[in-house]
Amino acid sequence: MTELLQLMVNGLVEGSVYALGAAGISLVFGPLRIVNFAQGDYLTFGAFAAVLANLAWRLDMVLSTVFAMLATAVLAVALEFVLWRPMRKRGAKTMSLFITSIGLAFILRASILFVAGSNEREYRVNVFQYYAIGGVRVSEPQLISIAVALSAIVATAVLLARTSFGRAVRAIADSAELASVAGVDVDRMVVSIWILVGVLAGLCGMLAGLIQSSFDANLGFNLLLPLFAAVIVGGVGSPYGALLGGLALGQVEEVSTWSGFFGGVNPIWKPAIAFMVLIVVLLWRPQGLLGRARTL
Amino acid sequence: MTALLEVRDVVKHYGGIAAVSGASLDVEERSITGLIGPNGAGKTTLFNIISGFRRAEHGTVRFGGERIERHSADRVARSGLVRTFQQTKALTRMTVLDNMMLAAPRQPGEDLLRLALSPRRVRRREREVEALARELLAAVRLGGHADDYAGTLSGGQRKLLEFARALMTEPRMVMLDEPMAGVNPTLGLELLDRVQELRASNGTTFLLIEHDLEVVMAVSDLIHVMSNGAVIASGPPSEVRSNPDVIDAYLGKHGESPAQPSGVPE
Amino acid sequence: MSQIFSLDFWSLVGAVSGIYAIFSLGLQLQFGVTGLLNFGHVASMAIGAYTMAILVVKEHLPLWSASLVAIAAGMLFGAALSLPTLRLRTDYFAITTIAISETVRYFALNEQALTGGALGTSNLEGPTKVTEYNADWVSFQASVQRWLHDIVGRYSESDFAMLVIVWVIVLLCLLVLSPMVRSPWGRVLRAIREDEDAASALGKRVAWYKLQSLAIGAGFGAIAGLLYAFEFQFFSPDDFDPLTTFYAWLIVLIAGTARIWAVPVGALIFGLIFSGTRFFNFKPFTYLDAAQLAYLRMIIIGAILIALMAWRPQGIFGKREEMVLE
Repeated sequence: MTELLQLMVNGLVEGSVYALGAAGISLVFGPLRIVNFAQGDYLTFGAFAAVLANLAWRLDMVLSTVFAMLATAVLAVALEFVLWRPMRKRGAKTMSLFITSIGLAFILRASILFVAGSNEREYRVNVFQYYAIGGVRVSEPQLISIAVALSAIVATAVLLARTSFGRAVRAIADSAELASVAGVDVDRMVVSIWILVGVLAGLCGMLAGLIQSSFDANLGFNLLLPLFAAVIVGGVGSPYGALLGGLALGQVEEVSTWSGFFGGVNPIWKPAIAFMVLIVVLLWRPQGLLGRARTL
Repeated sequence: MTALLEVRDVVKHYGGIAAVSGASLDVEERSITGLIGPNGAGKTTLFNIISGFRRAEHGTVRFGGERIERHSADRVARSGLVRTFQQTKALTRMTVLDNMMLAAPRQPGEDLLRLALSPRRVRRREREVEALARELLAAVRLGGHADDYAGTLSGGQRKLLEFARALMTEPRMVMLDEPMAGVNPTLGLELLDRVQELRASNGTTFLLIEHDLEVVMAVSDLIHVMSNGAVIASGPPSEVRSNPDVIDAYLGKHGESPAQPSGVPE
Repeated sequence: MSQIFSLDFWSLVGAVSGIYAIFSLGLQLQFGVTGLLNFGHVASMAIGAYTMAILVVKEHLPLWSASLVAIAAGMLFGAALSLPTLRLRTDYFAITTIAISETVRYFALNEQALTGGALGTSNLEGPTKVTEYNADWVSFQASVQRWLHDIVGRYSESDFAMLVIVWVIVLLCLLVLSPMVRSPWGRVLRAIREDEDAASALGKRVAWYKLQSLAIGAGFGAIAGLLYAFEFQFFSPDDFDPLTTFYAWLIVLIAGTARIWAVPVGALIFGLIFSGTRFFNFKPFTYLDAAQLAYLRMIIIGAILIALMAWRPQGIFGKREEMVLE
């Protein structure tokens, strides 16, 4: 039983990071209509910005995280003005934007590699500090990650549900034209959405690096497909679905290795679990858990 | 005698709202039948269900005596019941001629095995199909545009193309969804002339949804009126025009009565 | 710098471009002609290569029969891919195809007993025995080499023979695919690309045509996988990661929508860009090390993708009216 609990806690660690990342993707897809293949590299950017602050500038983790969030927000806004907005003005639609995001992903990842090299990095944290809670072992970074991720998720959920900003975001997600008719300054809101996305991505990237203990520039890209899986499983068009999908995916990945589950799936398959869950969910329930059924 | 198309008690909900709630109608063979009703009455949804693009939760659809409510859209089309769309689906990045030739039935060239093994038969059928296509295009005054991309045609011309394309399938019955919308009156009248010609010469049956009530009244043998998802009246134009339920349905929605033309193209 | 004039080097570049041309032709059928967003195309390459290698090494099948089975396996995989298309919108389908191709790669990585695992094909029969599948191919290539020597005299290096073999196959693929695309069969595929519902409304069995397109496209992918295996004589799961699919996408987008004969041209252009950057042996590039040059190459490729989307979405040879991507 403790084995299962341990796995569920591990699943929560992964799942809360997935949920945070998936929320970002969902925010970009809903209101902005972009399937952003470069989102993973926004995360990597955040992780490496935190590394820069933490290792090179010797700042503590809190400040480094704040820096990561700010830096990624700046990146997101800059890319909106330099890339996304001009492409939209040219009439680029979903498909061209998707392929553009692939090109952007190449550029971002290669640039990070170019500047920072391919060595693995880690933060200056104490990975050996463990807490034992009822037979379950959690390391300090893991505990921090859960706490921070879940707080950020709750804060984002409240922001989307209770504030006028959140209402405007949801209005734009439904229909940009209608929203602008209703008085929403869509262009400015888009920038605000990117700021939120950048902040979340920076945080998520840092946390992803934290729970992995060491990482390289492929961090974000390796997360990207599980993140898409989480969004799709949860139901595209629903940020709450993305959160749910992320948490669920984390659980499935870890708990599938439980020995009580037909002997448990061999852990080397863990990275592929996300894909297999995605395939199964899409074949059984294409709209995901919380999504709406497709209409003509 | 059973009607060519028999729709009975069809029900379809979208997210809790009944788009179609127990609709029934008949279309006799060789007739031109109209389907009218205010916006949101469920006409296009019913079309979608009949043509196999949507599945009803309840009810039956019979075509030529055969039950088709569970058939896929392509299967319905192959049984001789074809439809056009409210938002034209002219295949814009293909030429007008390609659009037409695509629609012809019995093309051995569409099957890879026969393409490889009987190239001569394939070529022969292609030549036949091309000739037929050009004929039909000429009949709708699109002959000169055969080699243009369908995307360069005006909205009205695309409607005509879709109409002609539907005819290429050698249908038994054609369902036209707002064929006059956005079409200039002259072209519109051409289309109606074709409809009547085809009914007379080939015995093709037509069911049309149309907002231009004058047109529908003038050309239909029988009219069904839908409101709030059900068929509330059926009869010859003169009857329907003065039916108090029908007038209510329209006045309740738009303040127009079926005696006056709506005059607003979509 | 003398490498720039080396025939061996350019033969290799040419051969690899040819392999990518065949690979991209498969994708062009699936995407350019039928409109299916397959981002997992590399899986068909992997299945082709691995099926052949496993059958030759473990089942002792002759190379040629193993290759035929490999192509069939690839086509079966493509056919299976059509199941998700029936239920998924285009962008979800795209992501699912990546998920599937990664699952295939993980399978190759983890099922060490079957595939040799991370160590690749040399490990097919365990770490104690270095295995090769290539023996028959090498002798075939040698006989082509001798034949070329008789005809052309000078260029008789094995790399050149491979180049010739690959491009003959490219030509055969073009001669088969081009008339198919221009036929009534191809017309149905193009209609599906434009508007599936319109095609259904005209009585076409859309699902069946999608299956054919995916299966045949995957068959081309499997052929490319075989040639890749023969060219390099060894491969591992890392050779079949999503990056390879993206290269094919780049080639297809350069070539232009539904253009068949332009695909090899696109592949050559791509091959040139890719290997040409190797020769940036002049300032300011000399300040960069090899790894950084590789990253720079990635940046250039990314920039080209974006530039294409921004300024020439119809590709170099496509017609503006036939722009696939809106």
